[in-house]
Order: sequence, then C-alpha cells, then structure tokens
Amino acid sequence: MKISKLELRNWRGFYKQQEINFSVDDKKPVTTIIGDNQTGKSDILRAIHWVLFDETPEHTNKPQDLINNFAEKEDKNASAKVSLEIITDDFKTYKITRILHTDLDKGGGPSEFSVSLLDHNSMTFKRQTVANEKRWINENILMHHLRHIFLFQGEVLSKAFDAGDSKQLKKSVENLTGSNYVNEASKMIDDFIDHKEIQQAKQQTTKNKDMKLRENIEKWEEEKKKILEKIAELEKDMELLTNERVEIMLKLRGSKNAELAAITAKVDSDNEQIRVLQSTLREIQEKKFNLIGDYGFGLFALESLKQFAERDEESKNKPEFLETIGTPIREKALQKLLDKETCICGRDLIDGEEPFERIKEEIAKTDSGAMATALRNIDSLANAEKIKAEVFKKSFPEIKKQYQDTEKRIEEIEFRLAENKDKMNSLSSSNFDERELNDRLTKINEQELPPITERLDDERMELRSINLNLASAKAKTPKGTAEISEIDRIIDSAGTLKDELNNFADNYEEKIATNLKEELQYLVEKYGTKGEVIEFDQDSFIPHLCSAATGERNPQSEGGANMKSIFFGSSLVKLTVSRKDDDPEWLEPGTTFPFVCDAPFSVLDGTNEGNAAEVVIGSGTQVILLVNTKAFMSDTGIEKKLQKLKKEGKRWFLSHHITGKQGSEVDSKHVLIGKDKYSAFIEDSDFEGSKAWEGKI
Amino acid sequence: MAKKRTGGLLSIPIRIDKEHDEIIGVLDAFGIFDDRNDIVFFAASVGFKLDEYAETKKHGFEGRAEQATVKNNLNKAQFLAFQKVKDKSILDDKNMSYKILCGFANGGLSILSDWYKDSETPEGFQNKILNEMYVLSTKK
Repeated sequence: MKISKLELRNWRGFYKQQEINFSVDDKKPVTTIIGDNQTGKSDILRAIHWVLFDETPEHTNKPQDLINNFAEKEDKNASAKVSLEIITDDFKTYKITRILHTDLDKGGGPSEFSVSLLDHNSMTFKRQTVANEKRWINENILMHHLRHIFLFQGEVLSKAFDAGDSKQLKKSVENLTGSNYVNEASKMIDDFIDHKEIQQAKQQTTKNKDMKLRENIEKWEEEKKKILEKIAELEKDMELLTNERVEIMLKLRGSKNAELAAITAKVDSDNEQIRVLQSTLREIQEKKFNLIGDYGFGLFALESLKQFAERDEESKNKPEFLETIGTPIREKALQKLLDKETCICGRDLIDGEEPFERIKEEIAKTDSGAMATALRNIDSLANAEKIKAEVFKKSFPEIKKQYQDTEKRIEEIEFRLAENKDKMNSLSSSNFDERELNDRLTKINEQELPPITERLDDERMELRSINLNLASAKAKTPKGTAEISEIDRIIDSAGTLKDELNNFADNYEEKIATNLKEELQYLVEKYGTKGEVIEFDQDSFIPHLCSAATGERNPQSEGGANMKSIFFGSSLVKLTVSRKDDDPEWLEPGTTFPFVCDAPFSVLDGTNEGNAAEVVIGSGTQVILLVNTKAFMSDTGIEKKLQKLKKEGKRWFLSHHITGKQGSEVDSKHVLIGKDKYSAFIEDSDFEGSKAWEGKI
Repeated sequence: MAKKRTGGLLSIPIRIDKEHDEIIGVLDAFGIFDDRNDIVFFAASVGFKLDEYAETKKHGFEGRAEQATVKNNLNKAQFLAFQKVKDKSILDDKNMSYKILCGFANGGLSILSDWYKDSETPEGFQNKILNEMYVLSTKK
C-alpha cells in the first residue's frame, strides 16, 4: 500500500489548500519533505494520523487546535480538511477525507468522514458507503494498533528510552506481534468459559426436573406399546370374525336359498329407502313449519296492510314538517291556540268560524318528519308483505303436496316390506343348515363383533390420549443430558484454545524479541561503534549497547538514544512488513504501509544522519522522510546518502509565511538545496501559515 | 342544565304477560322463529287479526325493542299501533307503539294457547296455524 497524495486545507499550521504528491515508484520509494522547525513537518504526520483515526498522536502540542488560526480570523466558519489518497496492493485508489467544521477548543462536534473510490474509466472519485469508519480503516488501510509503528515519531521513542518507559515499548512490541489481540482473545475466552459454566449449572438444575418428564415419557412409551399390542390382537380377532361372516354370507348366497338372500336384499333395500324417505319427510315438515316464522305476521295482518297501502292519494302525499323541526311543535302550538280559543294577536277563536277552521285545517294538513318516515316504512312493509303473501300462496300447497306424496310413498314401501318379511320368515324356517348359519351370523353381528369394536374404539381413544401426552412432554423436554455433555466439550475446547493462545503469545513475543534483537544487533554492527552488542533489560525492550569484551554497558552509547530510536523504529517496521512470509496469517495478515518517519535526524552528526537515512530506507516500504534543512544538507548527511542510493523520488519544501518581521529570531536567508532556493520563513506576507511546494531532484 | 337523554328507542322494553310464558316456550321449541321477539311480533299479528288485545299486567317474557329494531321491525309495531288508535300522532311515540304491540301479542298468545290445547300434537298445532295462514292468503 502506498500514499500517493495528501491534501490539506487550513490544517493546523497550513493555510488554505496545500497538496503534496508522494513518490509511488518502487525503485525510488523515498519522498523527502524538508522544512525547518515550526514550518509544519510534524503536522504532515499528524494530518495522516488524524484523517485515518480521528485523533492526533500523543505528544501533540495544542491537540484541540486543528483549524488554522489565520483562516479562522479571516472567516469564523473556516473548516479544516485533510484528504489522503491511497493506492492499495490490489491497485484500488481510495480518497479518504475528514473535515472539521468547528475547532475542538471552540466546542466543535464530530468530524465528517468520507471515502471515495477512483473510477479508472472516468478518472473521477465516487463516494462509497462506509457504515463504520474505524472498522473500514482497520480492514482496508491500517490496523489501529500499528499506527505508531508506521507513523513513527522518533523523538517520542527516544524519550521513552531516556525515561526507561518499558510499558510504552512493550506496547509497541505487542502491537507488532499482535499478541495484544491474543491476550484480548484469551480474556474473551475466559468470559466465554464463565458463561458456559453458569449455563451448565443451570442445565444441571433443570436436569432434575427433566428427569421426571423423561420418566413419564418412558412410562407412556411402555403403555403405548402395550396398547398397540392389544389393538393388534383385537384387530386379529375382528379379522377372524369378519372372515367367518363373509364365508357364511357366501355360503348363504350360494345355497338353495338364493331366493331368501334375494328377499333379504330387498328387505334391506326397502328399509334403507324408508329411512331416506323419512328423513326427507322431516325436511319437508321443517320447511313447511318454517313458513309460519317467515310469513306469519304478514298474513295475519295482510288485510289491514293492504287497506293501508291502498289509502287515498291525498293522505299519502301530505306536506311534511321540516326535519329540523322534528316534532310537531307547530301543530301543538296551533292546537294550543284552538284549546285556548285565543289567537296570538289576542282575538277570540270561535269554533265554526273561519280562523278557527283554517287552523284546524292546517293542523290536519301536516305530518312531522318522523310520521312521514314511519308512514313510508309502513307502506314499504305493506308492499313487501303483499308480495310475500303471493309467494306463500303458491309455495304452501306445493310443500304440502310434497309432504303428502312422501308419506304415501313410505306407506307403499312399508306395505311391500311387510309382505317380503313374511316371505323371508317362511323361507328361512325351511332349511336347518341355513338356519344354523343365519343364527351364527346373527351371533357374530350382534354378540361377538360389537364388544370387539367397542374395545378397539376404547383402546384407540387411549392411544390418542397417550400420544398427546407424549408429544407435549417431548416438546417440554430439552435435549437435556446431551446438552450438558456438549457444554463440557465446549468448555474443554475453549480451555485448550485459551492455553494455545497464551502459549502462542508468550512464544511469539519471545520470537519477536529475538528477531528484534538480531535486527538491532545487525544495525549496530553495521552502523554503530564496532564491537558493541545490544541487550535488553530483563522483561523489557529498552535496548542497551554493551562492550562485547566486558559486557558492560557503554555509558557513551547511552547518549545515542535518538539513533537507537531510529534503529528500533526501523526494525519494527521491517519486521512488520516482512513477517507475513513466515508467520501465521490468522493472527494478523502482513501489513505494508508507507513509513512516515519523523525522526530527530538533526541531533545526529552527519555520519549518523546518513546512516539513519539508510536504515530507514532499508525498511523495505514506501518512505516519507520528514527532515530539517541542516540534517538534509550536511556534508555526510541525508542528501548525500540519497544521492548515493538513488532512492529519492520526490522532494517537497515547507515554508512558513508570517505577516510581520520576526527580526533576529527568523533566519530569512535563502539557502540553496539542490537547484532550489529555500526560505523557511517568508516575512511580510498577507497571511500566516505554511505552504508546501515541490522541489527539483 | 338538562340531562341529556341517552336511552330513547334503544332502551324500550317489550313486556309480555307472565301467563303466556308456556306458549312462548312451546313456539320457541319449534325452532321456526329466530328468537322470542319474533314470536311476539307473530303473536301480535294474530291478536290484531282476531281483535284480541290485553295490556300487560304481570311481566313474564321481556325482550328489548332494540333487538326488534335491528331487524327493522319498528314499522310493524307502528303499523299495529296506528291501526289501534287511528291517530297519526302515535307514530311519534315509539314507546306507546311497542306498548300496543305487546297488548296485541298478549291477545294473540291467548288465541295460540287455545289452538295448541285443541291440537292433539305439536305438528297438529303448527298445521292449524298454517291452514289459518293459507286461508288468509287466498282471501280476496
């Protein structure tokens, strides 16, 4: 994976939009970013850290002040934006962007995160949906715990050496090995085992209850078996009797008494016909009597209803009161006048005279709304009942006739039946053998088969009941003992896995420590003072240089913490990048990432600067070196080493603009670096902030 | 403030004399009426036709007018009441209409009770009613 571009807008020291393109050429993997102190070198590393993880690394000065102050002065709504373009190992180009609208020290809220993917056809970035940014970064870009390895702050590590902060170093190594995950997994397995043990205890408690259910199931299964045996026996008996009956019937049919059989068949048929006809008769009777319910009211009231419906047209079409009046208040009021025999105006109303008669007429003329509705409904009723009466008049005689015909038919059949029964009796008394067979048949039908059928019904009923009990009990019973043994097995497996993880973490950490020591030893031998060996404190990763001859720590070497930090950091990167070849991928797949190296090169002497650059470049990945002018330019320093190794792909300068003059504090002289004139600070600008510009190699 | 009426038509009871409970039970057992309210309407038509009217004295069967009204039988009660009093104002008084309906029902149930007693069988009783109905349907 490589970083191809970084865009900064109003990010900390950088003013407005700045862009830095990095070298993605495998043969020239190094991009150097040159800038004096306070020009924004470390902010480059911080920007990459922030856009990926929404946080600034430890030891960041003013970590809440992320938006460029001059931009904020110009526009109080100014926002900071960082975009990082990354080319993955499978050649996808992602643009990862984070924007902060209000600075954190001014109560700013969460930043906005987005990811776009380059469409190679249109060469435009298309926005991707990312549900969980942290997970997406972990899966696609860089595991969170590896951030301090690839985004390397040499000064922080150097201080950890000086302070003897073994915890910090151990964390770095754990990050490298992934044993932090293993330890976390081990804890999770512990919790899992606890949970399973509780579950097992609960199962044990319910097991006792289950036992009772199981006993019942066994009991019912046993009973079911017995019932099935009984049913089989009864069915066998029944089959024997049925076979015997068939044989007798065949004998009777084939005998001389075929006539008897024929008459018997006729008797049976007549009996059946009578049964059917009687059922029909009952249905007709029911239909007939239902007429009373359906037509009774209408027919008894029919005459009056007809008269009502045929009343004179005048009375049918009387004017109505308005519905809003509702009740005959007007009539009542008029009636009151007549009762009092006084008009509203005070005049007397005299029966027989004109005003009195007119009022009477008026009262008679009007109907209330309710009256009119009732009259209309009664009219409808009368009309409906008239029609129904016609239906009744027609259907009643028909039904009555059906009833009588059916009765007659039954009588006829009954008469024929009686005749045939007489014949049957006379025929059946004529043959002794057949009488015996008939007797036997009667006995089978009436005495032997019915109890068997009855017992079969009872047994089958009992079987149904037991089957229901069984189904219910089985549904309530969990897989009981099987589950408990399954939990045992799971706990065993989890315990084994935990042991394996712990062993692995211990062994792997040891292996990494050995590898790290070997790598450091190699670097010391190649670049350090000859004859020294590297050693770690017990249970820690703080490296010490010791005399090979005496084994004593070299006090002078203790001052080289900065160099050691570069050795150490580069070794971590190298091991991380290379480990995929021989380490299990399930622990953590091999990761490559640009080595963004913000090392304190300037405190090293020229030789060590060159050596440090060579160490960093030798880490085997894309390198972004953040260096100051002095370290870059020294006679035996980084520039010379890069020229010699021919690994430098791109070179960028950082200049910081200020609005006034800084006097003697600012070295505003130009320096010539390669073919470029570089000024770290540019005075009397109309803004304050850093700018990045590309240099020539 | 006057109390708002919430009862009205829906709470009007249909009350039949207790002495008719037996014949109501007999008619109910035939299963030819939907419910006992239907029996009341049928009996009222018999009482109306044969001019037998008796106001309820001692409550026996009690129905509710709303059950009758649901089946749109209010017009039957109003018709009988109007025929009885020959005054349209009765159409505004639903309570009175149902009271008159019950009077005719009591009368009709007395007649039906006599027919039942005169019949040898329940079927005979029903045939008697049907024959009466048939005669009425064929009357010009």
